[in-house]
Amino acid sequence: MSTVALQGELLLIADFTIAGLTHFLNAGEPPCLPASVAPFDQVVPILVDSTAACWKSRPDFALVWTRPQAAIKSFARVLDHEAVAMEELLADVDGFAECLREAAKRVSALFVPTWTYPGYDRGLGVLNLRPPIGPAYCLMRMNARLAEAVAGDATIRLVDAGRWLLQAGPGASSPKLWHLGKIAFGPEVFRHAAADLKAAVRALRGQARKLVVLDLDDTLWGGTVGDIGWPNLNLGGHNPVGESFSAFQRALKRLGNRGIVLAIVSKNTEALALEAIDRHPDMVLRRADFAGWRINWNDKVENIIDLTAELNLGLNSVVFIDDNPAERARVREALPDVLVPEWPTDKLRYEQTLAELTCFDTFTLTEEDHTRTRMYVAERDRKTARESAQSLDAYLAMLGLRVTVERLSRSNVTRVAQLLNKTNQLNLTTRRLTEARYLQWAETEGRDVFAFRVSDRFDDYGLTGIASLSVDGPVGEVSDFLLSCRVLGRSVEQTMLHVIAEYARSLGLARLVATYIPTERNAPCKQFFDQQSAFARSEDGLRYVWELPDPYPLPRHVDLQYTADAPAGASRPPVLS
Amino acid sequence: MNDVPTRDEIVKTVIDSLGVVVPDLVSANADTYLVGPDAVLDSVGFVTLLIALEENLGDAVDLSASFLEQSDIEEAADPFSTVGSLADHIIGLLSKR
Repeated sequence: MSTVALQGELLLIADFTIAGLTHFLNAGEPPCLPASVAPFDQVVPILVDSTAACWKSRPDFALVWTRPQAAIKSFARVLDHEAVAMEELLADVDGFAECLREAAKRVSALFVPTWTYPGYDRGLGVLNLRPPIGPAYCLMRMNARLAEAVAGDATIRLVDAGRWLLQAGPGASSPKLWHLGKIAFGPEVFRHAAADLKAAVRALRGQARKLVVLDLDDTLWGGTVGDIGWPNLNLGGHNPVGESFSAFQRALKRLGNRGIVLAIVSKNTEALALEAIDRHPDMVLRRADFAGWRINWNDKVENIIDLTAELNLGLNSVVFIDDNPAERARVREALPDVLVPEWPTDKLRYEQTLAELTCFDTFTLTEEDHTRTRMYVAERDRKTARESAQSLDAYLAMLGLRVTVERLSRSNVTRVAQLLNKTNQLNLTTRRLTEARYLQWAETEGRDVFAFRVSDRFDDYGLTGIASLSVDGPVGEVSDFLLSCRVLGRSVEQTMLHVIAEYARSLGLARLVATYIPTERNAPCKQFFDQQSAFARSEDGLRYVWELPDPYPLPRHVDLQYTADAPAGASRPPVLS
Repeated sequence: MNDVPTRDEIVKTVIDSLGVVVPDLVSANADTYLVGPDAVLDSVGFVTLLIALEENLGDAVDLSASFLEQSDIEEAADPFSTVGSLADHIIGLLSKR
């Protein structure tokens, strides 16, 4: 099976001395990124020549960091205050982008820091941003053009070097460093660059944090609600501390809008705390912004375990934020997988501390991300319905589950790749592939990828399942079989098996084979396959074989639909009633 | 005349600067080599260290200029070879101000 390991080497390609960055890639937050340095100042030849020696080790990632006056010759003339037409500048940028796209074919991800120039260079002063002569204006246009030119390539990501320079301050660049060693940036710039690169690699590996568990008193608002009552909480109003709590809540709300789920674990009386959330006029976050809560007097460690289980998330998805150092220490010690950031005693710094966390980065953002909290709220309603239903069967029938099958395409590949790289529990093979690599894999003859969208009367879950098939003679090998934990246990997994089995039968295949690759977290997938009595198991229990003349029934309460183009292949599977 | 920091203070400043330039360095002391076959950093790192030290010392000494001079005259006792010898060299430069 073709698998790309997203844990290999990073190739550093630059037109300045970049070796200093390697120390920062080896230090600090995980992962350590082993890096090799391409020959100095050979950027374009290396980008376009796949046979260059530095590509021989087949690096997984590459960083292409250039100075604008070196990469774009016409910009060097702008810095010399010559008249240069914008069309010429942008054409040069397009040419450079073409070289980047060529190099991107060789890696899982290509990172390109934006172009900057030293902060000490005042350029044309007050004319610096004046079109068309201002160097700062030209640089803004060049960066924007580069971002647009590579936006269609799923492998290339521009990264914001301007922020690194701002963070690094006056030591960001120094003429002395340049003249003594052709070093364009100081160590602080490399430190910030390494942090962003590591966050991007964690995102590619599906290791981004997905859930923020929050304390309430002196974390979301000022004061103890049980002592002073919700009208007297320090929140909003016209004082710096109250405003800083509001700003912190707005920052959390922004996280929610990009797919990070919020929850509460607080030692409080639940009714009092919920009353504050519902009634305080300056609360930015309301009940609907939280996927769940445990507001009681129990140990927070137990509450976090309980809550993450309810939300079907792993503890390594969790960030725990609490103003109380004793609670932080307790959670850090008992739950080492949970990220517990040090939290400032200065409440005016809460928003900044949250904004500085690098654990939420994702390689893509999809429609599903924007609606994730809403999905969890719908799940709460669903749970209530289940508790009132007389049987599991009655509950499933009441859900009105609809599963829609579509083929892998350029329009859904971003979400498909995201799911492929994030799903851990019901995942047969846990392959991690970028969008480009997955499309490339699927384009080979004899391979089909099915994507599954799920909805019910409470909500639309979006695209939550993937199954792929590789045909080799009379045998169909299930290469991927994965389903988001949000819809586990509702017969969607049986529906997926039905779809691929029917498709394989329509192709006239003799048997279906699924090979389970164990990881630390995908035991639920093995349990599911073990429960399928029609499958014969190999001696080691890892390989499942199903003789295909037998149909795999569609669960009777599922409404199965196919989009017009689904699935790809010789024939379309029948819709069973 | 300004007070010249103690040798221990300067050694600490050098080690702190070394940590900024080579964050993956496990430990360092006055005997840690900065140049030569046993050095904990390469030539690029060494140059960066000198500039970082100049910043940490408030630009009170021009270490890079001093280094370029030393390279020319090839002194027997290289003042840049270890953390300790560099600290002594910095104290010498500060004393001459």
